[in-house]
Amino acid sequence: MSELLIKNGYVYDPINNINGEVMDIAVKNGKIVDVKEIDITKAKVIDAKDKVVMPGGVDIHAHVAGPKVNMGRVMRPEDHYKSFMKFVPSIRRSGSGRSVPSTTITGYRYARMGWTTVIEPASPPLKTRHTHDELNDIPIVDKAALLLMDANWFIFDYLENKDYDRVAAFVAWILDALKCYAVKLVDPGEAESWSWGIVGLNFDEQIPGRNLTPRDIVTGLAKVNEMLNLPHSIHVHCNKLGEPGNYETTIKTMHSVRGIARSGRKGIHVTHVQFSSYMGSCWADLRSASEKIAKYVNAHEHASIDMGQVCFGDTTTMTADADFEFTLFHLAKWKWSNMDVELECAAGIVPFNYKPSSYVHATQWAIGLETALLIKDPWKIVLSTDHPNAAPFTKYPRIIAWLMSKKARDEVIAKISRKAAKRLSLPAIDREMTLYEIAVMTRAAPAKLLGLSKFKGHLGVGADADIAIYDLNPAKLDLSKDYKAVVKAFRRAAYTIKDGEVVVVDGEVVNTTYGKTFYVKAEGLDEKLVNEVVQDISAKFKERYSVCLENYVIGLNELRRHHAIQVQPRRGRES
Amino acid sequence: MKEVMLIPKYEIKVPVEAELIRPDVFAGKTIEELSAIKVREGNRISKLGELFHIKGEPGPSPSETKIVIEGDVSKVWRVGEKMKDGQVVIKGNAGAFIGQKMEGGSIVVEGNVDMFLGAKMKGGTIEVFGSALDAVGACYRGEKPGKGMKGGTIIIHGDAGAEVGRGMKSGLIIIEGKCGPMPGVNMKGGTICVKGSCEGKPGARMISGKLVICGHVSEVLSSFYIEDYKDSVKVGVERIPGPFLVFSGDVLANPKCEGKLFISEQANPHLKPLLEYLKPATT
Repeated sequence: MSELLIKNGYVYDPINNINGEVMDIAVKNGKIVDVKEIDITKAKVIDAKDKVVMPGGVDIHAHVAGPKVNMGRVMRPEDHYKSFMKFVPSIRRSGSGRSVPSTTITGYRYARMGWTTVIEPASPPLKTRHTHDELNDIPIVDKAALLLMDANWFIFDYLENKDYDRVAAFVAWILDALKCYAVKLVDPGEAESWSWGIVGLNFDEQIPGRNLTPRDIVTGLAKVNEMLNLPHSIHVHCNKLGEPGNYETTIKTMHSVRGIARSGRKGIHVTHVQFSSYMGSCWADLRSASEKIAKYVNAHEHASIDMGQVCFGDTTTMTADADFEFTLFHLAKWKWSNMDVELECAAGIVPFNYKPSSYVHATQWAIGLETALLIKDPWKIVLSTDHPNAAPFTKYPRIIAWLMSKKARDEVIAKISRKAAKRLSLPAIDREMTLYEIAVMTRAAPAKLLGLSKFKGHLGVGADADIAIYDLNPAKLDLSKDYKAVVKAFRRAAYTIKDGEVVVVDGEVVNTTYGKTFYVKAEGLDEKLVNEVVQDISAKFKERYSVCLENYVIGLNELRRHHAIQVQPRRGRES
Repeated sequence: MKEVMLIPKYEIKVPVEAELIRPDVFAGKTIEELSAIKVREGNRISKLGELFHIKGEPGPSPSETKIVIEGDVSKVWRVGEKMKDGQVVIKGNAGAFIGQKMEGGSIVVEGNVDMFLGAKMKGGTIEVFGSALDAVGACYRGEKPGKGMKGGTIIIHGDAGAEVGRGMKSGLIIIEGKCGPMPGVNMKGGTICVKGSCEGKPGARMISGKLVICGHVSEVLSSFYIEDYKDSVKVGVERIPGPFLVFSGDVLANPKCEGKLFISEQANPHLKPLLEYLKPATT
């Protein structure tokens, strides 16, 4: 494989504490190496003078693949008239779509922005084969899928008996069997209670037909996560999402798992926190609870969050929180699709338009930014739009500009609903993030939270050579005033390098490669216990499932390129 | 008015996207310039001169230009797209998307046309002497109600396919023959008049507007309420003699039931029992 030398760039690499130093980066065999190790006469040289060099972006939460995304594509033909990418023979494939793009252009668009790792955050276990088929088809980026376990009957059965060892054995088995990466909880227990007709389950309310509350599920799986030593913490979409007054539930959820994770590890990742930080009793008196959330996160080390930043415009909401989509359908009054997946979870899709003139939507827009700006430590908050729920991922450059420039925010505040603008605290926040903090939020922090920071999200020796080079000169430009230059630079990376191969030059894809799919493999489990659990499941599969267990398990041959992350469960820990 | 004549050089077998065949582009150009106009033929880009013999001379402005296409061009799409003025005459069968998004001028087709005739048009007139396929004056698939035809007139002397005037907001569509299922689906305004029969589900999910069916309809959707009985109905400038049963709906799409559905009484004797509901209640 070829050697590569990136010369004289302003390097931002937070994991190695490099803040805008002019450095050379050397790449050999898809890995970053010391500059001395490569043959400078033969290596391909990229001149990054007056340019910013960062690790490739890591997106911790973006619905890019799976049955739900595909249903969104089927439901929204009109989304596909709006934008497309042409087929270029032997360079790239074609595709279309804006908020629910084809798998092909999902990868290309991420690469064009300099992002190289994407996590699909909600894969229904029964339909994970579909998720992997689509992930295989996404070019360039590395990916992984999180597995929905919020209403899984097997887990419910074990949790009711407080049999954490069996839950752990089951979680380890299913992550390996379905080649997934971490535990995702969407509105824990809600899919189950909604099938009984109950909308909006409280955190301490009993799930109908079960001797369990959402608190039991969250704390139980957080314990199991810790027992198994999984690389990522539990990834939680909180109860009562999208309801005014839900910030208390969010704080309760975060608080319920304190003390479970060992020091240095996170106990919980609360995702798209913007949708979970509302104060008020109804939509008319909706207020931002970003200060309360930020205060909690500032004071506690066990929780991390991501933004779920809303951008104005048309998009498609899709979540495994089926009853929320049902509510949303009655607000949007247009198209709706819901689905219940056997014993596992449910999901729904509704197209939605965020309007700046709407009080609620303008407040939602501000909450994401307020939360990000009020949290002092950028390592705890990750940039995300919950693609495509709050906005398509192609809006990241705009969000970066808003975070970096008060001027950019003020220009939007001037255009939004007057009522919202008066009530917001965003205009009073003066903080402007630096490029270093942006590099933390988009690269280092997500890689670290995902437990991939050994080889992702940094540019130290031994890391994967995923590098983004942006045409932006931080020495000359005042980025807080010249925010349009930031948007322009991040929208189209000057170069994107994936595994040592140049895939994007001047914002255009020049090469189609395929990344790896990460999954977790637990080693050293109690074989006897796992066998017992599998036999138990197998019996229930015969009784209740539409497929047999042998067809449920996904083989390694079904993944285009796989990369197992080995974990060693902790021993000797009782429930 | 000056005329340009286009005659196909060979039988066109793959779809040709010819959105540039319109008076606004042709006006004031020489024959050489016209021959160099780019059209997409299948997966490659060709020139207009390679597909057609071009005769005549265009006028100096779009309003003084008439484009005549002689022969069968049923694979040539998007003729007259976004045209603002002038005339296009197709003496033969025409392809899909004829006159889509047009804003003015007129298009006359002497043969049959394919789908999406006058889709999303804003003004002007289209007259077809043959038949049309689906989605006359419609919006694209999946779009919201009101994103279809926004103005102008479409007259079809033959039959039409399914979903005539899907999502239309304003304007007039007259079909002399029969039409396929679901005319006026999702419509939000404007008028559709079908002089022949309709295959079913007239006005499904209509929000507002007027839909007249002079022929046979197997059934009216149960989300429509019978409201009135009228002797005639006005469509554009003409008055069509009835008598008509007047329904309002579709209650599923609009609880105010602002859509009006006129169905001929004569052709639909099976709907007569519904007239009972119009009689004042007796105790």
